[in-house]
Amino acid sequence: MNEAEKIESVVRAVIRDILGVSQHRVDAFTHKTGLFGSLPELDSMAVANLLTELEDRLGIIIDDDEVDGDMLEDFGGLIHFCQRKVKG
Amino acid sequence: MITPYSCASGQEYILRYGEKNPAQIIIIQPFFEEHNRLKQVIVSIMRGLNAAGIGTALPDLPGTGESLIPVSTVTFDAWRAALSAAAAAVRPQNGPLLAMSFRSGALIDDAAGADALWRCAPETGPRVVRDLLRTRLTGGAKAMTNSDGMVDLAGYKLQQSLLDSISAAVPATTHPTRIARLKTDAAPADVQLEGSPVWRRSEPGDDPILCDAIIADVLAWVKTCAAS
Repeated sequence: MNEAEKIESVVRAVIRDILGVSQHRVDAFTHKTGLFGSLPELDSMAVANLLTELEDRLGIIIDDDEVDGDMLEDFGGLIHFCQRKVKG
Repeated sequence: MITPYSCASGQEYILRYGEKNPAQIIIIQPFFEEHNRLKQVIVSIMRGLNAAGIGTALPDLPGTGESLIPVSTVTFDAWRAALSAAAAAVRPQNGPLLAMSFRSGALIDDAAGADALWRCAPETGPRVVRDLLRTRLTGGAKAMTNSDGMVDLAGYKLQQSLLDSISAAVPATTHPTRIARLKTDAAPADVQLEGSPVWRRSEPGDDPILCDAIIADVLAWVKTCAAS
């Protein structure tokens, strides 16, 4: 597994663990799968938990200014955001 | 059993399992939403430890859990003082009192005056406040302090001074401490546990894998504490 695949698998695991989305459902996510506004489990409280858990697992810090619609719009956007943060 | 204890704001209650056991552990729960999310897991751990001969005590601090005190009146020092009072009420006559804290509970666990501390995924104060503030990111509400010095945050009405105190707090380093974190957590720890971060789950519940991992580590830790 390369670095990009590792990050994608961490993001999938966080969505499963934090939002309670089943492994079966999260395995079926594509980069176009909608998140904020599309995934009912992802309310504003859950966004806070999701971001903080991603920080803990990836060893990154996410500034609140960086949190916008693009980043959480779909699964692909969130993965690309995390990959950029891990690279620094 | 449930026993009362007295603190400055009145009477609060302690849930106890195995209160006649010589070794007693007082458990400090996290604040705010994580308190609710972890309740079931903590009680499962208490039952498991009782089955292994370890007594545990879970106090509700003023403004938390079943307390009748509104959280809007609570101060950080009141939490610390109440924890001291609860610890004094459960301290065994002829055995050690140990303390386990979960998450933000680590910010006050030293106030229990326990002989040693076990911490599950301890948080610093700034991170606790940041988590609360983050719920506003996508919630739309921007107003912070109201004119009465109160803050509406993540569904809680809190004194600004409470948030300020939490912001300035970090887990104390004055006691022998064992730090446990999940295997998935990148931060340093003495032991890495199997299980999921129940405290961040939208729909919390039990996590038998996490409970078993915690019980096993705490039983080993209690033996180490008894030997030292």
